[in-house]
Amino acid sequence: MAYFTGKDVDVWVTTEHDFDYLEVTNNELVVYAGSSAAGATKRANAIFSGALSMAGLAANRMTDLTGCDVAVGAMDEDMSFFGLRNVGKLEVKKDTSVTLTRKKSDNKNMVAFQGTTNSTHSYSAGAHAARWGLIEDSDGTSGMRVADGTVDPKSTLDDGTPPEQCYGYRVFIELKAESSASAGDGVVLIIPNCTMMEYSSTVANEAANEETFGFSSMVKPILWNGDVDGANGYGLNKGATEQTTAANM
Amino acid sequence: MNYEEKKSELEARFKPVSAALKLAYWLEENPDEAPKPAKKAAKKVEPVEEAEE
Repeated sequence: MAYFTGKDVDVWVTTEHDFDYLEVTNNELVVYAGSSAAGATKRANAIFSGALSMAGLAANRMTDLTGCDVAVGAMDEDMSFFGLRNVGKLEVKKDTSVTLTRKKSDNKNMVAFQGTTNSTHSYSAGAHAARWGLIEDSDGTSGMRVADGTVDPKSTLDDGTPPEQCYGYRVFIELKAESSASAGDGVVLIIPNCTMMEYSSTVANEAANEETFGFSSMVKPILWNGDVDGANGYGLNKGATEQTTAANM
Repeated sequence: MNYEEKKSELEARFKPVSAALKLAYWLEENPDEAPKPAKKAAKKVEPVEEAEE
């Protein structure tokens, strides 16, 4: 487990969709159907950092961050063999989680965790959280909706042609920025397909109000060189922003 | 990028309803790119022949 203070790292949390992301409008969660090319700036009501195409840009990163706690691990299965002393430690899946703490400057992350979702923008009837990211509407033609957690991660697809995996959120933790343009000597830990796991906030009259929320994923994380594509941030459909394949879910 | 280019880009990448929705949001943010309504062809007025008396 590694703990970074807010000034040590830059963090982006995006949906697993190229352009679409969540917004809070009238205290309800709605989907914004974005269409800009890579490098767009998130709108004022956006939750987290927007969509995949918006990662890597200073304007979209998580603000007021005070702490970032990362736990990286894997689940192994012990296999015993006749006649052998040692057991085989066979990796089943990765287990990565990240907990973010920030000054609570608005209620958007709280609304993301506990809802409520606008009924028109919901995969079902609304009134749920947005812990599972976005999913294409059940009719298969009406665009993206806020997922309600009733569809398994592998079956959570987007509205593209062909459709791609879209479950949860993607967390980008930039531990070291590249030294110059296209140097590719940065270090970014990318955790794809995260579920929002917990939320808590503190209120104090002699200190800043803080909120803490976490993400967890068992999809293999990506270690990336932090190559920024000019004004496009981490770019679109590149190593950092390519959606997970079904085989890797 | 103009309206037609954006429209064809979105239609190639997303399903029809999604592409239309994204195009509508894009037009909201880029109102100058809105397609101008086609001019209606002027109606041809036939000269009325006066009946000979």
